[in-house]
Amino acid sequence: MSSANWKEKLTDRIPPDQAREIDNFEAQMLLRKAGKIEEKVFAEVRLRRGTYGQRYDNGQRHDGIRTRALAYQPLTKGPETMWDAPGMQRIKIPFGGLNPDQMKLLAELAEEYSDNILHITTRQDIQLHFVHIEEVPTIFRRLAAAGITTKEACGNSVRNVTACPLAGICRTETFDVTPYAKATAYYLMGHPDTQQFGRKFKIAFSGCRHEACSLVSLHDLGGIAVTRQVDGKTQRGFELYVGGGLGAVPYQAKLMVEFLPEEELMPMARAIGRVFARLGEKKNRNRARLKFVVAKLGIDEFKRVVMEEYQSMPEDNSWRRYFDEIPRYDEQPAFAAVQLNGQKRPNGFEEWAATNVYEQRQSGYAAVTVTLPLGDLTSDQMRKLADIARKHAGDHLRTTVEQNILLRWVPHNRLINLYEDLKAIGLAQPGAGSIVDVVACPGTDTCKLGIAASRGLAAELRKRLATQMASMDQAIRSLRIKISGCFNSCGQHHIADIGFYGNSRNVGGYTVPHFQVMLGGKWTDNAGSYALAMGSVPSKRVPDLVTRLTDRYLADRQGEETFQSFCGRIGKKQLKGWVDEFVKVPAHAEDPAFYVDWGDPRAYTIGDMGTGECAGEVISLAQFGFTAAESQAFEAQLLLDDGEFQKADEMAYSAMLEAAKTLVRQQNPDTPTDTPTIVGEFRTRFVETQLFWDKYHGNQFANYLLNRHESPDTRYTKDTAHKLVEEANLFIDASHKCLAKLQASMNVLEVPVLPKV
Amino acid sequence: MDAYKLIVKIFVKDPPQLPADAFVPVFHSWIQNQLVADHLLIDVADYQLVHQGPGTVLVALEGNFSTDRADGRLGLQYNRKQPLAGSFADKLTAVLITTLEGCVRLEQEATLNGIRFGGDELVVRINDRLAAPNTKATFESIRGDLETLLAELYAGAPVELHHEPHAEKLLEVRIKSSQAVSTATLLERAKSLAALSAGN
Ligand code: SF4
Repeated sequence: MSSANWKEKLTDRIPPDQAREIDNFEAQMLLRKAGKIEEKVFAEVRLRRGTYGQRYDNGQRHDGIRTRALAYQPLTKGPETMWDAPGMQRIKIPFGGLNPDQMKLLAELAEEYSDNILHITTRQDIQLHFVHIEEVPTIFRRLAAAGITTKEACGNSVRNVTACPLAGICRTETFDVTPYAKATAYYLMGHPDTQQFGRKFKIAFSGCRHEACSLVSLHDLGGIAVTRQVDGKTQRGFELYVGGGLGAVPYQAKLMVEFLPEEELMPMARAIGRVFARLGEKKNRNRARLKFVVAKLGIDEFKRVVMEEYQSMPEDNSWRRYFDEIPRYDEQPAFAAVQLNGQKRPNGFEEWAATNVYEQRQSGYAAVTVTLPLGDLTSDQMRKLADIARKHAGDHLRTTVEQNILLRWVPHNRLINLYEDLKAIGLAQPGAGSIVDVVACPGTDTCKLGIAASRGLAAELRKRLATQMASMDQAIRSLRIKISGCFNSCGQHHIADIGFYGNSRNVGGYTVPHFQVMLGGKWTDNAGSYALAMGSVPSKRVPDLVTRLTDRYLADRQGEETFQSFCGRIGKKQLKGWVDEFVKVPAHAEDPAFYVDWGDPRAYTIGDMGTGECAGEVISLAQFGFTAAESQAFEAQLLLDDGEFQKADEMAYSAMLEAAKTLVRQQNPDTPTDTPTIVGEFRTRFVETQLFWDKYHGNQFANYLLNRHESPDTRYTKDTAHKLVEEANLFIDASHKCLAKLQASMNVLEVPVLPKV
Repeated sequence: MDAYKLIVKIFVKDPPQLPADAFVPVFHSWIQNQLVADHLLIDVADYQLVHQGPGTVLVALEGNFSTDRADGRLGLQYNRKQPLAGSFADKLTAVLITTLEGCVRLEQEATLNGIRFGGDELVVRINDRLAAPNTKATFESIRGDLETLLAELYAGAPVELHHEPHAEKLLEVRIKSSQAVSTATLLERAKSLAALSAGN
């Protein structure tokens, strides 16, 4: 079914600016299909909308016997990424907030465009896999109509802003960080100052210092809610942390400001974004996160630079619009609180309630964690869960960084019925936040960078541990296991008690899947400290190693000692000794099972790894701007073909403005984007200076824009519209030439950096 | 009806005892041996931990096979992703043939403990809420094509069609024949029908 029909059907339900962005994406998709824009530019365009490549999209796969070419059509949608190959769509869920209507829509999308599975990520996003690129604009439109976006879900941008799923109902929070997370997410989304990063930028908000719900320490920017008394009044603010991150080189975020008043939060985030855009590495993606800037400058110098930026950056009061919404954020329970008294408790209820039910701050209410194995649920489960939520909890749900879903505001007297309803759809598994609730990134299942089967291992551990749960000591139960398919840490292995990340070793001429063992990471205190690497063990030995480690912990633990303290006391040497007992790989002839990975019977290979898209391409603002202009010119042509002459005229004009804006902002990135300013600046900077002057045509191309701006031809006939569409194309060509001239004269790099203010 | 995103599910009869991951190596071997005609086979995805989920999925560019366990009933499901030529009846016949070929192939797998599919029961869904909203009117619009196809498949034996309109679920028709027919016979008849249609 063509996306045009969904477009028509949803036209009144999508905010116009979003509709336009999606049209733009679709036009760029068509241009790429026609070979009219570069693959790397389109790659960044789609990554910024969360449309990722997936394993095997480079057109080859080892089938267990040989590497086989996958005969996709030759067109690509990015470097080494075939057009036809199904990919992953990430959907941004700021602070994990979802309502039942949105859940139902997500269920429909997974059913119609994916493989009927919704996957919750460690950043509270939702991912669909095996999605065809041609269906992506329709997915965007259907999401937008339900108030969901994928904008900047990937690429070098501000990623999903996370927050404690318990925010607002937590017994230990200072205040509810939800509205701050929401405001920051939407303020920075698409903000001009966040468009020129060399790498992704992650933000989290936490309601208190000592819990782990939002893991501030591992973020580029994190805020912990704090208050202070000023003139007898309580003032809200944030402890502001910067420069944290996991990956191959993990860094703990550093405290930059002890008390940042709430009204300074968004401008400060913007200033930090501007500094990151200016000083962050652009060429070497391995050194391009903010953590490297902070480490290089030191926190004091970094703070000084940010404060200077904060004081001197051009005014932008748009944050006010979001800030003013904060006091209005109000979550009300759907049902009155009634205590659970004397109701008969079904089998399994107590065990489930002990791990999955959290007593809210608000008396008589509980929050219920729905545990999802490996973060997955089916469309049918999602739809029914939406109904269950509405029946027992109301509209306020959250995804969690532990890949689960949280129902909030469940009155106590509904817990038993809720449990029964969840059980009926297979979602009443106990063990939330326990050792069974293993977190795993996609790994070799779908990720191009995956080295070992993180999900396969997680599934195996989950199965084994679930059978032992009933007899397990509480100390073991409360441990956390997190697994990544490679060192990039998407499974957050650094902050687990027992963490793993995939690697490989060569044994007797065969490649053998392994996992690096990481012990003693601290999950609490907002991910207070990171785990120690203890060496690699073969993938197939990991479950036995987990048993050994937990047995030793139980046997040698002193008092209420945490696993982290236990590891510290026992010491690295002893821990390594335990791990080393599991490093041996039997010869292939002796046990070939070691030469395949969990959940995948093919002979193991690392030959299927591809080029990751996590980092995206660093595309200059000018490339983006011109691509957007070209896609508008293309859309104008389509409108013209459809006989929509006035709309074609307007779109062609808009395309010229976009190109002019791109040029103007090359010279001054802070130029306001309203039409009179852009045209005025274009005239001053490019026409009067003759930078736009063409050797053969003089000011002819510039006049196309100036004439349309000053005296539009309002007859809107086929001829007038056709003329303007042609002119728009010529204007964009001339803009390209002008930029080349400008760059040559200034001898600047292709990737411009924001000027120091 | 111009929808092509058709789904057909055929149920396993008296499911044999099988390990949860039994289909994973089978689907991998289909890729190794390129056993599905006109399909670019890409990968195998395993969702065995998900309750009543798609089980093991063989992902292909043109459409996915899955050992679906929706409603607690194991079956082989084929989910068409790419356009097909011809009328709605032609498309449905083609999807049915692909599904039946998958069933017959699984029945021949030595590792699956003699798995058998029941030819007397089918589920047809249209995975496109825009083209085929789950209403009585949509059902009526495809009913004729379905009945003609089923009359051929079941050689005129009585067939019951069950459809329930639903605001949220995909359009789904449950088909039950009083005649017990093997999947191999159904496949043969479906292929004759396709050949006939191609000849016209
Ligand atoms: S940790 Fe590695 S394997 Fe896992 S999702 Fe991230 S990049 Fe992929």
